[in-house]
Amino acid sequence: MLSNNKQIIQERWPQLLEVILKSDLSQLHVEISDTEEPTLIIDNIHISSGYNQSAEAILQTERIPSSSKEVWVYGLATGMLPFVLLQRETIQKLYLVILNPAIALLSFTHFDHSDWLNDSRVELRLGRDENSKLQTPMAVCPAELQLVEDESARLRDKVFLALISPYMNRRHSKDNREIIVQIERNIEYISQDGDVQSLFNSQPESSIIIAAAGPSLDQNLSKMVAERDAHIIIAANSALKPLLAASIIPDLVVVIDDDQKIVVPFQSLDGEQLKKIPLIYFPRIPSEILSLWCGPRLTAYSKYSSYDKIREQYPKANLFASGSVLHTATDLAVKMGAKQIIFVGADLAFPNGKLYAKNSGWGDEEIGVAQHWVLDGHGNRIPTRASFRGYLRDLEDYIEQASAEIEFLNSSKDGAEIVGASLWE
Amino acid sequence: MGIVNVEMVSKTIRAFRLGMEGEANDSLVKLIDQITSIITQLPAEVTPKVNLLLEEVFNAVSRKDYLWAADLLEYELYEYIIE
Repeated sequence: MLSNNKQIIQERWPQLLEVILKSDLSQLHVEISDTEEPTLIIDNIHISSGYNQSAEAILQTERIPSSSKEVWVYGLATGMLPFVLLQRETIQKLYLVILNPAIALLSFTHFDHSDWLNDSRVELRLGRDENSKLQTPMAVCPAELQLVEDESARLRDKVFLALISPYMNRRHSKDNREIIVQIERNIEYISQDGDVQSLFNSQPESSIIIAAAGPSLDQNLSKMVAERDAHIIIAANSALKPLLAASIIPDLVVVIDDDQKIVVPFQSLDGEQLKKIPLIYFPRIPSEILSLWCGPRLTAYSKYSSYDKIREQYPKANLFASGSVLHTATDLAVKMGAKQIIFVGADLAFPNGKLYAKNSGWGDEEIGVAQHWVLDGHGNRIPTRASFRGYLRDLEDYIEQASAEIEFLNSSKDGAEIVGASLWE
Repeated sequence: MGIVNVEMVSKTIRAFRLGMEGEANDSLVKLIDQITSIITQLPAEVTPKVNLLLEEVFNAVSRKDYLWAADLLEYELYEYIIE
């Protein structure tokens, strides 16, 4: 490490220096770019622009309002981002969060950071100590989200979600034509169907299993059969076929997606078997599912503005939504009064290279090239999708904010670790 | 002579530099469509360079080296596709 960087960190954050200096660099492939403004290329990722780092940093600071006094910077890169931000006299405190001490060691070795490190407004923190909460306003060195250490993976996903959410949320705006059309197609059903509110507080003190179609569902089917009478079972639509194949008839089925693909399993159901089972649905789901369902139907809305108009027309209760049916099913279980919620098949990753449980009707070819990772219950990195990581973190946040009296359990360690859910044994 | 929509190029670069992955990738797909549609209008000596750079952008994106993809668009490809 450059002596001037080291001296400042030693004086101001001696414990942090120890952590940084202990980093194992032997597994990292490091190059210096042959560009106008050299940068580091770590495991084939450029940590900053190689042409104009100050222009890049100025752009990255646009997330921080000019009046901000306290700001957070996630990732270090070459140090240009904190340097540029500290030119603002309005800033009284700048927290710089190191997402990987090994990357920090490399950066402190190759670049002089002394100017901004010496600034009394700066405080260095480690991402592994900041996993529980994303702080704002924030600016991000995005390349470091690809180079994060395992211990900061939760924080990485929260930062990532915050960066992509504005774009994703536009899909749920009330002006989204596709959603408007789909709601119109379903309006006959919505006007006549029940309200999910009728289920609220209907199962106080109960144990509710939420069954999703991740591959670990298979390992738990026999246990679910053996303990069938001890639990209410809410099936995500994708888990319905695997459950029925194991002779498990769920108590409720939840559908929230507008993807036409999800219609297929509903086309071969035994209507007689399910005629008393309620279907809880969001107004945007494919109409075919509503026409194929033989049991009672209950509409639910989410907070998204795409449901504002229909909500006003036919008021019914809201359930939490954040991309995955898991969120909605969990919120339903909480509102039904569960004291214990057990996730089964909620893998949110591809354990053993598989995406779905058997009999789901879908194959693993959808995995494609998995470029993202998450930690499983054993502490190993397993491949996943960026969207699954987002669903996972939103589910964890939901659990964290739920009543402490509700026990959350996860049936498998093979899928993504769900923080806040202990192992169902 | 604006060959490719400048705003579209800037929007793609900006999204990559800000870590807005979904938006960046969607913008890039649209940008590549535009570049592909005008590639035959480019001077003959430029076409192989543009093709090579596009390949490098693809490679960068596939390994999630997004800031390098942004650099290639902003400092290498830009001059060929904008003027």
